[in-house]
Amino acid sequence: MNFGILTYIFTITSILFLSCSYDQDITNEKSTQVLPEKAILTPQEYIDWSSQPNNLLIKEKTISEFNYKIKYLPTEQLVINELNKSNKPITTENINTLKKEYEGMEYFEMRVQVENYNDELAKYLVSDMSEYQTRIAYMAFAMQNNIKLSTEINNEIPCKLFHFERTYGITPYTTFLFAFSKQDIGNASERTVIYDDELFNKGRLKFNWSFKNIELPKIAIL
Amino acid sequence: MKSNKLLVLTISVALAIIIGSFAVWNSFQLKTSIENTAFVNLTVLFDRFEMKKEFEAKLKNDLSQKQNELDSLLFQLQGLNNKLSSTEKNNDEDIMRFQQMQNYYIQQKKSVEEYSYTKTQQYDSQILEQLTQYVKDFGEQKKYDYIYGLNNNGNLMYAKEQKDITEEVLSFINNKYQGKN
Repeated sequence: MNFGILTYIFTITSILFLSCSYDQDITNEKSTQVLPEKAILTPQEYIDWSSQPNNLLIKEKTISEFNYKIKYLPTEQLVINELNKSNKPITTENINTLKKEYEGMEYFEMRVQVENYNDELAKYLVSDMSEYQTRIAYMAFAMQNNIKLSTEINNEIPCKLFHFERTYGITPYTTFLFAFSKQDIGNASERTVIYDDELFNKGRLKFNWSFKNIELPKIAIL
Repeated sequence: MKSNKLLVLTISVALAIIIGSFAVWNSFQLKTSIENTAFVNLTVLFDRFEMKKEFEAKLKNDLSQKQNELDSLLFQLQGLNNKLSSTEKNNDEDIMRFQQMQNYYIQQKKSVEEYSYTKTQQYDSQILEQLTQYVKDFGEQKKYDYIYGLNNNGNLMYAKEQKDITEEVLSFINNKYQGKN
């Protein structure tokens, strides 16, 4: 009989133990690596880190079926992309030349995607060709006016450069590249991209980056 | 005979363990499910949602500008009216100008009212869509089974005060709106 009670106590203890380990799993699931362990990365390590979904540079928001993902593009990333595209070696000279080209602005890339929809974004629930054309025209010319940057110093920095990457439905998302003047941003450590979505009527969407006490990784020159 | 008794006893103990464990497990599951249920005060959530406050201020500002334009028109209209009233014999041109301006004023006033109505509807729908999404994100992140919305329509008649997570949700959705989490 004593054996039975012992078995019973053992079973209950096991159940409680299992429930505790389940909670542990939940806690672990939330931990994310936002910065790499090293301060200086090789170009490949930099690309790997910057394309991780939970890294510090990417901010994401889902409203109903729409997913908005904005990536802050440090000059290092733009330089690597450019050098990779043109098959040029990653040397100090090449890096410095390209850095100068990107120096005056801070760049962001926004991807908009609709869940379970693989065609062109502008065609999503479109009623006729005229509405489609209006959307394309908005994305190409007017959307820039609905994007601004806010910092702790200046709360209304206009978007100075805007590019709509038209992919004609080849990719399941649509990409927009935009930039703000570094002169307007100054020494601010906070950046909030504010996008007023008039395209799908989702209202004001904000994406915040805080670089206070954060040193972004640099590229090791080969 | 003795071994049979022992067998029955062993089976009974085994059954007791299984049934007991099942009962404990069931009550544990039920408890977890009840614990993962909470409610929010929808009126408080909506009124103190940053997006709502921002849009309300934006609309107020827009309407104030439009109202200023309307006031200026009304002032001109009153001036013309005074001129017409002070003159015994008015010429047709002045009367026609007055009527045109009066029609224009009525048209503009109606347009401002329509603008106010349309924008309120549009903003409310955008606010509700984002608010609903962020509460859903909160529920998923905190592993809630249900989050009930308390308002005055009687959907939720009673809930323990301890189950009120309005403040926690409010802080979460405001951070979410500001793009901070």
